[in-house]
Amino acid sequence: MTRWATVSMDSYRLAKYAVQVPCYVCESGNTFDAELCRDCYAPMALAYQATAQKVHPQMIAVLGAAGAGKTTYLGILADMLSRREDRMQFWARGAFSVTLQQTAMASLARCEFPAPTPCRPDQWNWLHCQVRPTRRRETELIMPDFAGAAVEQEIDHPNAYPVIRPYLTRSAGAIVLLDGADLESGDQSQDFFAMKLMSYLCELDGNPKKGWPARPVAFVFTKADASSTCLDDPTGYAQKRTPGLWRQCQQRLRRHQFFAASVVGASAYEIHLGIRVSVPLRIEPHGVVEPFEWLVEQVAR
Amino acid sequence: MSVASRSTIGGLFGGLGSLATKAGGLFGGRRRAVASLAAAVDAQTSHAAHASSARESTPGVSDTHALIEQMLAQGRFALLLREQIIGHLTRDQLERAVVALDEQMSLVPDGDVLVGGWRSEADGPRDQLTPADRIVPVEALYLDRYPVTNRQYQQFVAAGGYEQMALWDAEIWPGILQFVDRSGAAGPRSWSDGTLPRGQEEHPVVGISWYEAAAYARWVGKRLPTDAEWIKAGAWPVASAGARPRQRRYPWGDTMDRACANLWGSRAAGIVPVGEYAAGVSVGGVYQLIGNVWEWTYSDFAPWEVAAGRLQVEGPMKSVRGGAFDTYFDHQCTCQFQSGDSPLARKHNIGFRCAIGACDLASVADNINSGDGNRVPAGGEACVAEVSV
Repeated sequence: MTRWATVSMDSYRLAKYAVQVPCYVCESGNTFDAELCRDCYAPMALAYQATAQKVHPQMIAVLGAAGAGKTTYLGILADMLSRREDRMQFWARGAFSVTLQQTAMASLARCEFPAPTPCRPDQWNWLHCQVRPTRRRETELIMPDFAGAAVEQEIDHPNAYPVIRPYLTRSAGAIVLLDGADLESGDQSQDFFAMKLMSYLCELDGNPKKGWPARPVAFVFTKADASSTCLDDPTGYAQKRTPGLWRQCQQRLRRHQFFAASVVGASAYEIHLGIRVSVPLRIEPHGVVEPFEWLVEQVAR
Repeated sequence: MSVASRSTIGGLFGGLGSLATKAGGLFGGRRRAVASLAAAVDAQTSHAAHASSARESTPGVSDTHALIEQMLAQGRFALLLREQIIGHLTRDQLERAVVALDEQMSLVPDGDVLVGGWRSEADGPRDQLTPADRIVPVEALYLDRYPVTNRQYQQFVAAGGYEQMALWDAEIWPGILQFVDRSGAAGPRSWSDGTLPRGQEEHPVVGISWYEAAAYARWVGKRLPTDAEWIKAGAWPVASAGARPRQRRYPWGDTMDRACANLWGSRAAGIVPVGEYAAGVSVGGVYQLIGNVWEWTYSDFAPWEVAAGRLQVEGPMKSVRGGAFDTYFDHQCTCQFQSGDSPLARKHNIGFRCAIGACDLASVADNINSGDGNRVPAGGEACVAEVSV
């Protein structure tokens, strides 16, 4: 039997709002026109692409203390990969994915480092890309540029940032950046940060088969231009300069490797409004792509 | 060793000593460097005299001849073309020295050159002068056509250059012992057992500090070019009355062409031999001013900005120019862009080339006197080359 009824057009509009779109990271419900997740501030474009285009990107975490160089690393990594095709093909997905690259490279071209990433999650840049390693199928990846201070706060006070915990729970691997210049000067804070991070991750998901003990982690000593020994032998450098992290890695992580990377050839300081600011004197990236290549290779296994 | 022989060699290098005094007057603030050159020559004298004493039976003229031949083989022709020395060369030796000068060095004419601040290219191209810009007059000079190669530097190492203290600035004497290669022998950082990497004879030498570059330059009778001289050779300024000199952004023109220089994104993935990328040669015929390796210059890094307190550096820094195989941005490898590094830094991508002022070279007679032992008259009259353009 068929019944006929008159329904106002507003109902069709409201119907869209009635259907919740789950955030790709935290899975909380959002309206169809939300730009950012109302809970974790992850871009909803990821969820729309997953729904409409049947694309399910893997999550890669890029972590490090404040000032370790995450924004610079991600920006120049994206730029290097998008400018060359000989090692790995790379395409940014969505305009928001180019913003990080554009911002970082504009700063470096002016002989400045990118401004520190603010702690507000709605201002974080996300990189969603499609990569095709040599002799492998293409892969979709997401790499957010978390603020270092936010990561430190989340480690010390879990759930301080709603996006970090679910993201790390679902991440397929991580790149952990450690400030090589700090280590070279004898500062042990990088070692402590990395040890706390390892503890946090293994508590988050300690499953020996699918948890962090089995996931690949690339440790990258950034600003390695400050130390030739670090550039020549990052594994040996880790053993000597970050002994705490080294031991944790041996005991807890099955798939990890140490790398050294640098983006600048030399640096100096400028005084801006009475504050001493480091400025790069020339840009000559080294060891930037290698950790990413290794991680993509490991994730694809 | 005969008395005549000692007298000849003594005269040869005594002349160099007085040359040093004269050059000190020409270079002004570089007196100490020139004094080191004179001492280096003295060291070379005693070394040669010692070597000669072992060959008692060799006639004196042959000793001088052999020494000059050795210096020619080592590429030290610039020493032989000094005013006080040139008279001791035979016609053949002189011709070979002049040919070597012509083949290995390029004449850069005198004139004004615009030298910008260290960030001038990063701020983008400008039409107006800024407070950081300086118009600097440059005397005519000869600049190496190619960066110094591993093979050339090997001769310096083999000749005991690291032990000849007179070649080195006194301030670095305690530090010379740390200029070692992978095996701990004296030499560039990437070498081993004092020997250059196999197959890289014609690659530019890298992994050397500013002090090592300066010592080598003294050993061959040259010096490091100043910033202004380096820019002049690459940018080849053309003066126009009442306006800033018109200068090239790159030696080959104003537009980046990665076929002309070995930079990040060029076909090569690392350092290449010095004779490659001929398309990027400068107007004067100088190779690889841009790309392949950065080049130490004699000048300090950003002296005006540092003096004004706008830029702070940890310790002294020397200027490097030209970009390297891994330089990422096009505007950081222009003739005008300046970067810097510690004079003690021994980086994988910093090399150097040498220069010598045209006024430091002697004149050469058009009609070389061949009537008396084929010797050129001391203090010959004609010029090696016309240097004013």
